[in-house]
Amino acid sequence: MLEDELTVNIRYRDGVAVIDLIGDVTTFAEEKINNAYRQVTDKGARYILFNFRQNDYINSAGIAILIGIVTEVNQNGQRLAVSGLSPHFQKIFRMVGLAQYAEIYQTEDEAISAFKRLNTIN
Amino acid sequence: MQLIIPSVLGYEVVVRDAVASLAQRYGLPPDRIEDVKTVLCEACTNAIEHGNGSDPHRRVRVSCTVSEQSLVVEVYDEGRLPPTLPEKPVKWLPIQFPSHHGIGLKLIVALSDEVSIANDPAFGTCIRLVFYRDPRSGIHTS
Repeated sequence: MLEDELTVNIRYRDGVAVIDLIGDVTTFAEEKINNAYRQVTDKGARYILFNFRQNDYINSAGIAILIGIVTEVNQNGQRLAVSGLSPHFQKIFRMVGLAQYAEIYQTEDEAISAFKRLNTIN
Repeated sequence: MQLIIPSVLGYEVVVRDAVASLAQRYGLPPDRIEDVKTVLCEACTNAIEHGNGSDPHRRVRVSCTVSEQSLVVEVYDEGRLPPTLPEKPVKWLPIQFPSHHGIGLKLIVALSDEVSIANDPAFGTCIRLVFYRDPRSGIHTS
């Protein structure tokens, strides 16, 4: 009732599946985030970017959802990055260990550029 | 300042915003206010879900006091089973084995300067959170 309901939008840019997460990433977001991940995976995405909006609310349940995703990303041989996180949530992602599995970039453009370099190398 | 909310998820955000406003006027730096916000949300969510079993008729009470040295926030629920806090500094385990059990409590301990829990069988559980105005006056480790 009071939560800022999450809006999930999927785009493709330069071979990267960009999943925009706009709103609160809490327990209520689980189905939407997992569905978006499955959708891009079913379409064969190798590079996935979760693009957050600064100052949104991410709680421990939201972090747990993302931990579940990085586990699947590893199993599926994909690469995951995140962008748009506030400095506070960048700190938390590093603290809980998510940053070991998902590169953190300030902006979507930086993340896309990094994926492009990776794609060239691979 | 005191706030009373029903045990319904979403209200923890209202508490967060009110306490953040107090913390800002108190003079905590912006990065510490972000810590306060995350800790408050986790403590209230824990009280709503685990302390009060998400029963909307049970109340969560939040009490804030400021002094020269610190901002102290106490979150009370009506539960009888106090959570077990991890030790400081928090040990974050590798995340290959997905489990979100305890992430909230770990964040609470890691991001606050002091945490303690009191349980009164007659009234319920209280988690007491301390944030120092000057971090040098306390130990803040993550």
